[in-house]
Amino acid sequence: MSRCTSVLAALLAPAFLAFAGCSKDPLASGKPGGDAAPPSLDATAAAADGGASPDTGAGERSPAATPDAAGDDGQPGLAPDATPVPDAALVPDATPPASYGEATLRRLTARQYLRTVRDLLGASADGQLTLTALPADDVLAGRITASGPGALGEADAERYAEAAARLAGAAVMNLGGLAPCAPPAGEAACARRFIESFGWRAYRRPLAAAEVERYVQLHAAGGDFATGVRLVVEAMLQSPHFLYLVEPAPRDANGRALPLDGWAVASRLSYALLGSLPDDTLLNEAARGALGSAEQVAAQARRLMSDVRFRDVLDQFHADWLALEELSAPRDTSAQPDWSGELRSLLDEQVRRFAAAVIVDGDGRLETLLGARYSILSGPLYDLYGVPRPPGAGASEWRRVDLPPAQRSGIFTHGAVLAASAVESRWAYVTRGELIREALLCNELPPHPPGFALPVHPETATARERAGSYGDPACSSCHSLIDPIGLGFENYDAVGRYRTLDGGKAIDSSFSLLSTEGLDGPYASALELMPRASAAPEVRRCLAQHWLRFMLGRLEQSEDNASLAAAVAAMSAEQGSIPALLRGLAGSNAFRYQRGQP
Amino acid sequence: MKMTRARLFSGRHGLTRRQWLKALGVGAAVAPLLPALESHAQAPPARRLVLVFSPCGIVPETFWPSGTETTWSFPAGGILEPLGQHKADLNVWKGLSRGATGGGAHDAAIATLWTNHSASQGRARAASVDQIVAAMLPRTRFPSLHFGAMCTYAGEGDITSKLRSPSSYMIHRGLDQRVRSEDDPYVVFDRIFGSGSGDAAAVARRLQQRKSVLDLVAGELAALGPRVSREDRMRTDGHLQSLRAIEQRLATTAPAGAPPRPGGGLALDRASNFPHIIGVMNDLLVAALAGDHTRVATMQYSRPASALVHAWIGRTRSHHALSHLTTEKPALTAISRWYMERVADLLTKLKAIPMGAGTLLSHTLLIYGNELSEGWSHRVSPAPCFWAGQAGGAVRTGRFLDFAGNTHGQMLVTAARAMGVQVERIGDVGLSGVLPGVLS
Repeated sequence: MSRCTSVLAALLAPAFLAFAGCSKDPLASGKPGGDAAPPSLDATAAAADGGASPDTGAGERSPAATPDAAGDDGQPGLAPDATPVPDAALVPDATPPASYGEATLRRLTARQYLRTVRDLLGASADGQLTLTALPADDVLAGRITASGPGALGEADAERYAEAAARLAGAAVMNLGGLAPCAPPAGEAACARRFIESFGWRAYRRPLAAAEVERYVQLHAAGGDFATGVRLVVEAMLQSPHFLYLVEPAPRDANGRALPLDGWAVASRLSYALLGSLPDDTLLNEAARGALGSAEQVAAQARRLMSDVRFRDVLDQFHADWLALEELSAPRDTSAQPDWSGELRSLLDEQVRRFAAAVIVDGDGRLETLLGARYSILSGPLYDLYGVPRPPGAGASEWRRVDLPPAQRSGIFTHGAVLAASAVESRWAYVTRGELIREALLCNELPPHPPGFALPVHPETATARERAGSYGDPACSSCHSLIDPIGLGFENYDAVGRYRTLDGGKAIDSSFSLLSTEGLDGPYASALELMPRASAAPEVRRCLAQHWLRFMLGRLEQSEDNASLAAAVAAMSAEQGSIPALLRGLAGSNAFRYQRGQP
Repeated sequence: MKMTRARLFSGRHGLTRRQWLKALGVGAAVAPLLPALESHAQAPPARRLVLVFSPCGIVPETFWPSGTETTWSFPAGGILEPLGQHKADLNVWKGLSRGATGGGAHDAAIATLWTNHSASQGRARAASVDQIVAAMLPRTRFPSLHFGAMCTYAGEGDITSKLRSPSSYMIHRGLDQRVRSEDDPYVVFDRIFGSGSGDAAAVARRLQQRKSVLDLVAGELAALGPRVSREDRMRTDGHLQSLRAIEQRLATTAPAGAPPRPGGGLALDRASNFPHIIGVMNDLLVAALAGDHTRVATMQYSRPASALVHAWIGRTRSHHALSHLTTEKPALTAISRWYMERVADLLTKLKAIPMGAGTLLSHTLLIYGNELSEGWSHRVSPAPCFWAGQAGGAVRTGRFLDFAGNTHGQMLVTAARAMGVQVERIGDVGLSGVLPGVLS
């Protein structure tokens, strides 16, 4: 009981809610959970100490002998501009922060690994691996996929070894497509060239001379050219420089924030927006030191968002943010007779198409994502949404169609989201309420207290009857915040179909929202909340937090406040544009700096 | 522990392989496992530890036996009844308290099940008992092996690698050191028994190549360590340790003889295949223990808060959903009972392997655990717990004891002691020391 009431108190304190609703992992910070001081949104972190000193750690990376990779001065490991170019519109946090959160060696997620080997090895990688053949991912705060803390265990190291052996074996079946030159004319020279060019992409930077030599030796150990290439590929795919985003910690005795080197920025950016390795353009920009400023990084971000792979990343983000993997959960088909594997696939594809239609092909605005009265439909979805198929539209063709405006408003009223949050129809009002609290408002809900007992209701009880029946204050203290929003979605059944009756009783989806920064008040239904939410600063900030987690593979820290505020400002400067938010995050200090290691 | 084949076959008893077969009175089914069995003929066979998990709590009134320590019975039609054929090899421990689990329901409960350490945000913060024991035993090819069925997959067509962690993990090497239960029988088989195909020279060449590759990668990790932050250094060091363990294993020869590779093409995300996958995994676990590939193995049937629908026994709602309802006790009993049939199958298979003067089961300590006690109340105490096997004589079986006042952690300490590992305490929950009167 004390747990819930203390959290309730915390939730009622707006300052806490503004940030600590998604507070950092207490284990990572070494502090007990829930008592983080409420940080302010002001750029307090910008206590400048005269700008960062040049990256003294850059020398750690030995200059490569790779001719096509070296910059003009032959120093591929050069440090980018030490002083970020200020641009008030784009980066209010342009002054480097005084301190920064811990650097973490991020491992590729399973999806990033698959995408990367596809881009690296081409079609030979197709069908070689499934996600489950790779180490399992973790989730940040229950939603965003990340590779997870902790050292790689023996079984997982072996998974990578098996995957590498398999991929390398398949790749050398088409040696011509892999190696840049043809033996036997100068096999040794050809092997060296292959090592340098393949390594440049696999390591996402030029290989140091000593690294090249080790691979030359490994190649020779293969006996023949093809076997040597296979071993080189097999080793590179297990290298820490491939599996991790290695960001050599800059040296600074005072642990101040220092800019990342260009290679690290290139990889961060590419994995954030394409889920894969940087392309040659990005690597070349890194090589010539052109990824130092916020503008330079933001410009590259803009370019990458036009890449087709960005759409896959959007899919992944929305699946994470909205917990769409719950669509795969088994359902009680006696209670949800409409549910089918076909419907699941259609709903899943629909929401992906809708998000891309708004963010990539449309106006990109959050207002549209949350408020659009249209979607993209196909086949049985016309029936589900209660709109006629336009004349001329094929049965399985996807068309943009206007939806009944009194029934739908953006992505949270899409069938996929409504169904994913209603795996158990009886408790849909709870899971949907949790979704809004966590995904849209970034409130951190405490775990259920140990030994909690569920109230027992007659099967015929309506959601509103269930929601109002918590006798125990230990329950109602939290559920009084969660359930009302969920009731606002009662007009949608477990597959997302609009309804006005539940078990023969008229549905009342009005609710009163409490404990928000600026959205408190009565609402006729969730439909009324969505357009208002899209303009609310707390919602924009929450979206920024989720994107930051997604892009950087970590939870935000108090040092990120200024960067988050800057990204939200960039978004607001462009009518709530999500691409502008992503460019703002890419250009932010959170993205381009890390703490120097003493 | 490592003996050459020649020495095995002409050991001090001077028996040939064929004579051993005859002496043991075993047929073709066990023959592939023999080299390993023979190695045990010379010294008392080593003890094995097995942990078995099934999810979502039990139904107390249909689970717990009644009677005295030596004269007791299962409730008729109840959960444990399928284990009746193994009753003489069982110990049922009632009344063990798991204390506070650190908040949360299934997440925290699974994180604390085998660690007995209070969780934080559903994350385990200490090593589980199997890892504590494995670290103290003489090195086998695998310090431990972790089997499972449908721990990764939530259901039909679900190929997500996002395991909603940490809730899917019951095995931990320490804080943020989760160990995944492997639920792909083909991967499990190849990892334990696959030694490559082709002639001996090709296999040897391939081994040498793998070693060269691992050497290079290990060298890179070693060089990287000093260049990353202190926290990351722990990760590069841990990764390096894993590579060294693989290298070490490559340097040893696998005991000859392997069970047949599981038949191909099982859809691992198809709930209807779940019963079959469990049977295959039970086989592989037994073969891994029998062949002395490891002495510590765990088996995870599904995952905490399991979303599986056990349609083959007439269920239409997920196990987790049912477990929230006191009105569904008959259905919950049926599901838990079905899991006990899988455990009974595992025990039968362990007992079918002759070893020393007894069987593989008599040299094993198997412990059953569940993340919850009751699904509808989310209570974890009293922990549903039974042991099977005699752990090479360390444990007297056939008993039913009520340990009210004792704790789950003491049960784990007692298990570690039965394995010959002298610990006083495991985890930070409950009491230290052993359960009284359990060890011989």
